[in-house]
Amino acid sequence: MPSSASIDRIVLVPDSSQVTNTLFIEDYKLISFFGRANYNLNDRYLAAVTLRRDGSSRFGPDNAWATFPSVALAWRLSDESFLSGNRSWLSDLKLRYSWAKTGNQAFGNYLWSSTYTFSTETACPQFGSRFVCTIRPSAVDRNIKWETTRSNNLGLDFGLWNQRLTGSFDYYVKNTDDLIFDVPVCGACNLSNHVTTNIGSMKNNGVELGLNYRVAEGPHRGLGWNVSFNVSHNTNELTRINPYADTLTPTRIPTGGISGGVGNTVQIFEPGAPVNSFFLCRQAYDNAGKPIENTYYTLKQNAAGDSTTTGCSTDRDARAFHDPMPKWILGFSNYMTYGGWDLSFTLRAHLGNYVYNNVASNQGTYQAITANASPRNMHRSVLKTGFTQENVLSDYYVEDASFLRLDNITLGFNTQLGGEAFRFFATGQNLLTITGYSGVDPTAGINGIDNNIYPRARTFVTGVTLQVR
Amino acid sequence: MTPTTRRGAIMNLRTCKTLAAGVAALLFMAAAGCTDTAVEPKSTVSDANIFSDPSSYTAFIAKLYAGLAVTGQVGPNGNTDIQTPDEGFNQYMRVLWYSQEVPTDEAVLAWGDPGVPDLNRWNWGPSNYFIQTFYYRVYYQVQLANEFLRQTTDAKLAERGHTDASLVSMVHQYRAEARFLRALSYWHGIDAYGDIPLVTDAQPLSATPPAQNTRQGVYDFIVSELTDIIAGTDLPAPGPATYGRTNKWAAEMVLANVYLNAEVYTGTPHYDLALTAAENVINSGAYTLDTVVTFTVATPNPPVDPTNATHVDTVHTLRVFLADNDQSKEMIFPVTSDGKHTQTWGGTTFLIHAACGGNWMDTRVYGTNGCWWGLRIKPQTYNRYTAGDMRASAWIAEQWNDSQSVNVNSVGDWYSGKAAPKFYNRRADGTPGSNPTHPDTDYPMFRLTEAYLIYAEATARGAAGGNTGTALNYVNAIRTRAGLGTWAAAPLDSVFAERSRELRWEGKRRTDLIRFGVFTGGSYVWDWKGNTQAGTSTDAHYNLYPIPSNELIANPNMRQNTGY
Repeated sequence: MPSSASIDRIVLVPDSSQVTNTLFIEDYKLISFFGRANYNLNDRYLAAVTLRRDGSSRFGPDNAWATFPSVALAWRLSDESFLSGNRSWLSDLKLRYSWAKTGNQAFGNYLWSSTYTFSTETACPQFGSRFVCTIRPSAVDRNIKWETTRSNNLGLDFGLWNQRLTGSFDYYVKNTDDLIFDVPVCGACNLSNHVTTNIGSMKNNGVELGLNYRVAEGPHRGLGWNVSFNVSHNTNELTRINPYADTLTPTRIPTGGISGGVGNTVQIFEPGAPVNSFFLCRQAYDNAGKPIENTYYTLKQNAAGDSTTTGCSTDRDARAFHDPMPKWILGFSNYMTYGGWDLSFTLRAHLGNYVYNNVASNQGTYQAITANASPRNMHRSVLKTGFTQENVLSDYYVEDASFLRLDNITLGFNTQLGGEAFRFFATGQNLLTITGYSGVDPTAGINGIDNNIYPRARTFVTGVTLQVR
Repeated sequence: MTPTTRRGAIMNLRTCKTLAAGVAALLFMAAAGCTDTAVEPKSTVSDANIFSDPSSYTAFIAKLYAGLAVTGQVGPNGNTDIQTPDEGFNQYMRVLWYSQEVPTDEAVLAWGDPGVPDLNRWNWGPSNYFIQTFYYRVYYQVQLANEFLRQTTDAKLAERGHTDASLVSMVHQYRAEARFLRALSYWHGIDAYGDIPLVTDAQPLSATPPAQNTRQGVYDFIVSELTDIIAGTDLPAPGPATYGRTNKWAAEMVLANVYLNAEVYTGTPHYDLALTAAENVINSGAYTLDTVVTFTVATPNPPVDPTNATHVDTVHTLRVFLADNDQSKEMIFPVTSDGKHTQTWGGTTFLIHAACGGNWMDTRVYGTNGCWWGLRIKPQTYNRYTAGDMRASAWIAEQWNDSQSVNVNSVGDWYSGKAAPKFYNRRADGTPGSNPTHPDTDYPMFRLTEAYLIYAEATARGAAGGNTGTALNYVNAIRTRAGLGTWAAAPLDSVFAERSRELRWEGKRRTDLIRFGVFTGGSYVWDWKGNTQAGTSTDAHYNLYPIPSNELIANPNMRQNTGY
C-alpha cells in the first residue's frame, strides 16, 4: 500500500458521499397496444378475439416488439333445441376452444445491452500511488428475444340438476419457444460463466377437471354441504435446445445451482426430458442397501451388471431423471353448515414431484464436525449414509416429495347475542402433511432444491366477531 | 331464429367492425414507430456511451488487473464476476494457488469445504469446484482482455474523437498491458488444462463455443504475443509510478516460465530461451534483492505463555512478504491487495489467515484478527530446510510449533503438520497494515529470485549461453541472504531443492514438480499423494487437470483430457 494513497474514479461516477453502490436503480419499459372484439349471439355462440402488440425495453431494438393474438370460441350446447329437452337434468353445457400466443418478458433488465458496472472503492487495484476503481462490462446475449407460448385449450363446462353439480374439463397443449433462463455458458463464450438467454423450446400438455357438488341444499337451519374437487395432470418436456450456430447444438444445458456443491448444478435441460430434470450420478449401494461413499454406477452396464466408478463426473456419469413438477395435483374442499355451525376444510395433494435435499447433501457428513475450527451441525442423513465427505452429486438426495396436506380447517358458530350477530370461530392452518419426504417440507424447494428454508408455520387462530351498535 | 335475434346479431357485428378499426389504428401507431422502448440505465452505463469519457479506458484496464486481485465490483464480496456458490473462493490467485500448491509436497489445507479434500487427497475430478472455478477465471481474464482490445482499436478511438496524441499513446500502453494479462492467463490455462480453446479479440463476442485448440497452438500464441509486446515500446516502464501494473520485465518473466516448461507443453525444450528471458530481467538493473528486515512484535497475554507475560516476537523476513511490499526492490509483478481499497477473501487475505491456527499461535503477530486453521506444510518440505535458514527459522523456532506434528497424519487436523506462515500484514517497521481483516500485502506473482533460479536451472540443464559461475553466484546470493553457507556447485537437484525453499507457497510448485517429472508416478512421494498418508504412486493423467464438466456440456467442441 502506498503511503499517501489517492483514489481514482472516472468522472461518470457520482461522488461516493452522495451515491453508494447499495443504491441500484433499474428501469424498464413495457408498451402495449391492445384490442379486443367480443361477439355474443344470444348467449349461445360466443367469440372473443384479442390482438396485442408489446414492446419491451428488455430486448434489443430488433427484438423489442412482438404481436400476440388470441381467439376464443364457445358454444352453449344446452341452449340448442336438440338438448333443451333435457333441461330436467342438464342445466348447462358449454364447449370452449381457445388459441393464444402470449409473450413473457418478466426477467431481468438490460438483458440485451452490455452495460458497465462501477466498482465500489473497496475493489480498486493499485496503480503506482493511486487506486483505480474499475468498470466491468456485463455478459449479455445481444439477440435475446421474447419467450413466447402458443397454447391450445379445449374445454367443456357443464351443470347438472339445476346446477347442483357443476364442473369443467380442459385439455391443453402449450408450446413455449425461446425459453429464457440464466444458464452456464462455456468459458470463452461471453463475459461471465452465466448468461441469460433463450435456451430452447418446451411442451406442456395436460388435463384439468374441476367439480363442485352441493351435497345437501341446506334448507333453513338444516344441513348444508358443498364439496369441490379438482384434479390436474401435466406432462412437461423440453423439446429442443436452440442451436448456437447452424452446425452446433449443445446436447444439454446445466441448471439448478446448489449450496456447498462440488459441482455447481444438479439439474439439466435436455431434449426429451422434463425441464429442470435432476442430473446426477447413480449412487452405488452395498449389499445391505447402504450407499457407498463417492461410488457410483456407470451409465453403461457391462455383462455382469452395473459397474461402478469412483467420483461423479456429471458429463460422463450423470443422466436426467425425475423432475420437481408434480405430475398430479389434487384438491378437495368442503363447506358444511348445520344450524349455527359451519365447518370447512381443504385437502391438497401433489403426486410425482421430486426434491433434491440440499440440506442433507450439504451437511450430512461426518467431516462437518472434524474439518473446521469448530464443529458444525450434521444432518441426520449421515446416520444412514455414513458419508465422511460431501457427495452432493449423488442421486441419493433426490426424494419423492409427493404429499397430502390438510391446508386448513375452520369451525365457526353463529348466533345472536343481545340482538346482535355474534360469531365464534377457530382455524387451523398447515395442520397435517403426509409425505415420504425426509426434509422439513416437501414444498420447500425452489424449483425442487430444498436448501434450508424457514419452516412453514402451523397456525391456530380463534376469535369472536361481534357487532356493537 | 326469431327476427329479434337476427337484429341483435347485426348490431353486434357493427360493433365488432368499429372495434376492429380501433385495433388497426392502434397497431398502425405502433408500426409507425411513434414509440420508443429504449430505457437509459441509471446505475450502470451502456457500452454506447461509457467511452465518451476517456478516463473509462483507465477504469477498464484496471478491471483487468482487478480480475486477478478481487472477485467483483464490490470488495471483498457482493457483486461477483463469475457465478460460483461462494464468491470468496473464486478469487483468481486463490484458485490458482489451490491448484498449484494443495496437491503438492509444500502444502496441506485442513478444510472440508467441497473440493478442498479432493485436491489434498488426489481425488479430484471434472466437477471439482476449484478446477471448474480456475478454468472460468482464466477465461474471464481472456474475455475481458479481448473486449478491452476490441473497444480500444485506433478506429474506435477515432470514431469517438479520441485523437489526442497523449491519450492515444496511453491507450496503446493499456493495450499492451491487456495482451500481457491475456498471455499470463493463457499460460495458466495450458499449464493446468492442456488443450484449451484459443479466442482472441479478432473474433467478435459470440455465443458460439470456440473450437478446442492444442496446448501447442495456445503456447505459440502466448510466445508470439509476449515476444511482440516485449519488442515493442508500449509497455509501461518499471518503477514506483507504475507499481501494480506490468512492464517489459514482467512479460519476460512469463516468457521465461513458458520456455522453462516448453518441453512439458510442446515436447520441445527451450531452456536456452528461458535462460535468455531470465537473464534479461536480471540484467535490466530494475531489481535488486531485498535485504533482511527484522522487527519485533510485542503481544500482551499471548496464548502461548501461561504466565501471561507480554510476549515479544522477533521477525526476520523480507520486505517482499510484508504489508509495504510495494516498496520491495525485488518485486517484479504483484497482484495488489489493500486493506481499504483492494479487498478480497482470496490472495494474501487467504494466505495469511489460513496459515494461522491452533490454540497457541497468535494472530496479532501477523497483523490480522483471526486464524482460519487451514494451511500447514508437509514433512517433505519441512525437512528440506536446514538449521539456520532464515526462511524457516522464523516459524520453526516458535514455541507453538512444538504442538504440531511433522507428519501430516490427518489432512483435516490443524495440529497435523508444521505451521509455516510466510506472509505478514505488517510493514517492515513492524507496524500493522491498514486493516486486520484484509491485508495490505501484495501477492508476489514474480520476483527477482525466481529469475535467478530459472537462470540457474536452465544452466544446470545445459542451456546454451548459461554460465555455471554466474548461475552459482545467483544461487549463493539467495542462500547467503537466507543465512546459509555458499555452495561450490549448483547441480540440477540442488537448484530444484533451493527453488522450493525459496519459492515455497508462491504458487509455482505443481508446475515445477511436473517439469522435474515427479508430480505423478512413484519416484517421489509425499504425504497424501495418491490418497495415502505416506504417499503413493499416482497415474500420469494427473499431470493435467480435467476439463470442467460444465464446460464439456456447454461446449460440444471440447473433449476430456485422457484418464478423466
